[in-house]
Amino acid sequence: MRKQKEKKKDVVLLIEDEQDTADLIRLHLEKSGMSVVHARDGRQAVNIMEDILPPRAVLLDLVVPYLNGFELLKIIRAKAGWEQVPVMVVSGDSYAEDIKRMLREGANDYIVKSWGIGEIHHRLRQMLEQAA
Amino acid sequence: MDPAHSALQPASHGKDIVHVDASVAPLVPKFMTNRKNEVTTMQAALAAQDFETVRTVAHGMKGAGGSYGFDRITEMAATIEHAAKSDVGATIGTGLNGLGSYLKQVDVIFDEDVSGV
Repeated sequence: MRKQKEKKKDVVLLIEDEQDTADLIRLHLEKSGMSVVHARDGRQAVNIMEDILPPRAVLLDLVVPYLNGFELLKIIRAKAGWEQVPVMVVSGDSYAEDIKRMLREGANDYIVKSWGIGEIHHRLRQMLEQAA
Repeated sequence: MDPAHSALQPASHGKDIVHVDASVAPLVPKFMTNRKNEVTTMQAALAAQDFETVRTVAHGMKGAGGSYGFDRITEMAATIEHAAKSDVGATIGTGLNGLGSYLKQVDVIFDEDVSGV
């Protein structure tokens, strides 16, 4: 019954397998008035996508179990209603090829976790403003 | 000391101090406990020559460290992850010793909440 309770503008889908990182992002986003739906792996993310309305944004870890970030981005962009949902890749890695590929295949932004939670939050707000 | 070796060692000048945003404070005790547990997990994996587990755990720690502001953890975990990709057990062992020592002695100072949230 999630569909009835959640407002599109407030919800962020967080796909992140590292629990402490997920807790940190959730804490910051909830403090700023957003609601976070958390998927711990690729399969759970796909299941959740069937259960919720398109969120305000997706934060997507590149390396998660079962389906990686590239596969998940493809699924997100192919899903009706999700084509324009802003997607920010949040990764522990900063390989130039990965960054180029994710942006080419439809991600709106790519941020490296080591830049810190403040920067992740700042870039998310920027992305949402641009998408508004 | 070459950079690769340096990345595996805690600072040599007494205690390391990390400044972390106060907004993160409620999560830091669990964060530190989990990192110490992960060192134990990786040590057991290394003993079993299970480099894939070492690589996976180190990758997660690399991301988590920087997110919280523990750049040194990220740096050391990245070195361990890289060594695990190449199955270099000796480097992993040295890295885990350094990481374990660092986690035992690091001090955290919580700065005023400047996150703006």
